[in-house]
Amino acid sequence: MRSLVSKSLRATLLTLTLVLVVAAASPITSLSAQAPGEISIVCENETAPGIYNNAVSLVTQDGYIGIPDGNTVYMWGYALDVDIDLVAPGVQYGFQHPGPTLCFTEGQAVTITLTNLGFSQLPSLTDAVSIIFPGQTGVTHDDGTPGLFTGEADSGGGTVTYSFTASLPGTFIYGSGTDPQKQVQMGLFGAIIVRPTLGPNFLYNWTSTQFNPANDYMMLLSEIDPDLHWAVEQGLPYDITLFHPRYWLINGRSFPDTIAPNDAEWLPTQPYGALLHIEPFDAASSAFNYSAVRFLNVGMRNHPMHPHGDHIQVVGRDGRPLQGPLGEDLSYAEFGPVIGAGQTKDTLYNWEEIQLGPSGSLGLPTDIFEALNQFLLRPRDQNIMWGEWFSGSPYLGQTTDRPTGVTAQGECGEYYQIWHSHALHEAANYESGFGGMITLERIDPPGGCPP
Amino acid sequence: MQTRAIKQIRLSLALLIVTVLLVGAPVMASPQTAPQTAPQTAPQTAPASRIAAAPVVTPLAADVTINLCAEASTSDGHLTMPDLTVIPIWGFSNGGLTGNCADVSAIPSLPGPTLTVNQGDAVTVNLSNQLGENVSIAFHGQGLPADTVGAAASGGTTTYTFTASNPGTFLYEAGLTPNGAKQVAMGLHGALIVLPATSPATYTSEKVLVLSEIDPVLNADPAGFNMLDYAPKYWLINGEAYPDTDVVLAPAGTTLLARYVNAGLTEHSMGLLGLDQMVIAKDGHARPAFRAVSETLAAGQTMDTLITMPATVGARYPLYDTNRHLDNNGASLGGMMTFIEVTSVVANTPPTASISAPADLSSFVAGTLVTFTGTGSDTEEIDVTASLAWTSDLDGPISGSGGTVSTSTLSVGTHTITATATDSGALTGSTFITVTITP
Repeated sequence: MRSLVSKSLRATLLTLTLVLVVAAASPITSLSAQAPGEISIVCENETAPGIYNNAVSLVTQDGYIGIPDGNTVYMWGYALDVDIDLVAPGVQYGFQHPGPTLCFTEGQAVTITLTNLGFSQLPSLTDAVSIIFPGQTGVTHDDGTPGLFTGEADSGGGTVTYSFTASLPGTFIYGSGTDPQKQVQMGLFGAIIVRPTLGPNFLYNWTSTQFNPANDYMMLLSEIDPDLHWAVEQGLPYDITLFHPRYWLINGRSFPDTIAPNDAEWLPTQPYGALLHIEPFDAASSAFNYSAVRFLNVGMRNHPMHPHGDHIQVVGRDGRPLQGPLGEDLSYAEFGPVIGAGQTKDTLYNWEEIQLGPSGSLGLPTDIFEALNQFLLRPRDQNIMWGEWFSGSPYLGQTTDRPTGVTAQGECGEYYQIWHSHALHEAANYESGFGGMITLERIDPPGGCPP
Repeated sequence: MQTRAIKQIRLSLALLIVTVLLVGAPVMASPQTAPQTAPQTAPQTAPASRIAAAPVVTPLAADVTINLCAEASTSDGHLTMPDLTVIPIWGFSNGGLTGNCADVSAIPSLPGPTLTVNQGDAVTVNLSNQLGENVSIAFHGQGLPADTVGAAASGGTTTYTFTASNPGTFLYEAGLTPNGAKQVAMGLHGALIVLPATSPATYTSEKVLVLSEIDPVLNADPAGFNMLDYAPKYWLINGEAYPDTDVVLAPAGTTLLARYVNAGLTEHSMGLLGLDQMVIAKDGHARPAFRAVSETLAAGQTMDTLITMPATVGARYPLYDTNRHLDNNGASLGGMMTFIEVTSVVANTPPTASISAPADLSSFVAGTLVTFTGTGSDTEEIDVTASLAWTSDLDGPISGSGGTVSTSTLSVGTHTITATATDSGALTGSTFITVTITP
């Protein structure tokens, strides 16, 4: 378990604009109290707004994650080490999935030390572990044992230190370079974000990539074959040739957990949400109306992520801006961006009211299409089979009972739209839908949701 | 039956031609390989039109004839995986001069021979089919209609002709006969490279990387296999799985063109660790170049990327399928992976200069127009005459440069006239003559 103290402090550091600091352990009582930091990217090594610790120490941990169908899955993970815990020295950060999101500023000299503490459920395991940094250049390593891809930390407390200069802004994967078919599947991965010299509200050193820093989102895609995880947990042979993923995750969560806020108390090991919470596009301040949506795929399958009824603008790949040699704009719009395995796509997104049709403007329809409604409302409010998944949180929707037959129960006229993998078998939890690689965007009326 | 000696002679001749036609074939027959001695069960008489013309070593568009055989591997053609599993394959082989498949030592390979032609070539491909079912070839991107009949089983032949008008990297594979999908998965595929008419300056070396998969159950019993059960267990680059894959070598500081061909039935994303690559073309079509670490090739697609080689000689960078097909039938690490390694730049040799006129020890009256003629030669660049610089030890540089310079202002006296050639590596070579100017 992560320290509550550190969480609260981190929230404070992260969100100076926070009107109401909400410790994750407290139920969130109103959406309007939802601060950006509660749903957008959390930089775990951020020591002050925009200031990132460049010396990160990670350890291996193991634990369990929850799937909305009631299953739990045994996972491995990277966790922040106690020694650089800025808040609570001596308190070990616990297992989390995915690994901590690390942010750096372009040009920062980064060192990442990995200590192989093994995995508590498997005390006799002697697997070495490591980290590779696809997209980073000039990565060197000290100590450690030579491996095929990089230096490795041996079992029994072995360490390895990686050093590189975060010379390229963008979004990057990090993950195990040791037996990656097993270790990455088991959860040894995370995201690295490098903010450009131009400013934290840009994706690249390219003025066209400006976005509203309150709307900086990541969607880290992965798949899980629970049988393989069971095999590891039980010390049985791990046979990747039998790989048959059943769970499809965004930021380590499966829908509808994806729309819960960061650090939701009922998801203690899955800290990262994937809900977009935005306002309609405002042409008058267009530069600040874009959201950054950073896609990463650490799975073995390519995933076509679809912003339902909409499209996004792809501006970068693998931490490289889509610009020609002379700075030509090679960005492009897609409504079914395929995120290739091992790849990242940096995109800009906005939502225009006109997309609702002629009745746009104020009076946004508050109908949530029926399938989603079943997740978002209290089970007793309607006769639905998935009501048991309802968390009990009023996070989406109001707290009062909804009259029978009324399907519109927004808080302030907000509108929800689905984002999902368009490989529709991935929009499921163990072949049962809806679930899996789905999240939502919430569009508030212009000006935001009144308190 | 032909005698073995005659076969060997014909084989050598065939190889001469094939070597010109098939640059970089991953499995190139060698004269030392024992020819197939099995009796010809289906004797074929190659029509005159199918006999390859004498090879013309020129980048200009030409008529090119390629003879391919489709056949099943025998013991020397089976693949051996890193775990020592032996995989029988169906593959294309070089048909040599005559396309008489029983008459050459070439054995079927996976992938098949890399076919390299020049842009504008009129290409004729003769297919001779030794398999027990019809086989056709699809030359993707060449504008040919689908051949749904192909060469008949057990000795049938067919011919494809096309003009290789677009430079690029292409896939050829078993075409749309009823069993085509299975034939591709068995190994009937390869790369077709159409070299550009003018050599681009953007890269100095290139590597063809054909990606494919093996489901050993299919290969063990192709007739009894249902492709709905296709589940590959080996993941190959140029027919090899790591650690048997070839390391890709390119000199420090140069640019490598990677020509990827996905002949598999599933997608593969090829990524680099520590480097990135500039994607410049897909499916034989140039596109606005973009930089990425990894890029996906769907089944049947090709991709050209440029990779800038770092300066550190000996440095190695993993090149691997980021879809993580990195096992050999479950044993990790293996599969679709190799390394790119930085090699030292080939040593540049200095050029040489020669002076053809005037003759050494010539004498001229002052004011006479004297014309100096010479050439510059270089091992790497062949002709560096244009770089020639001329100097007099008495008067200094003579104005002008190149193969011919003239002057009428040489002063009276005995001059040592030096011609110096310079190559692109800034190395020089010079020669001199003595010329006397009289009052």
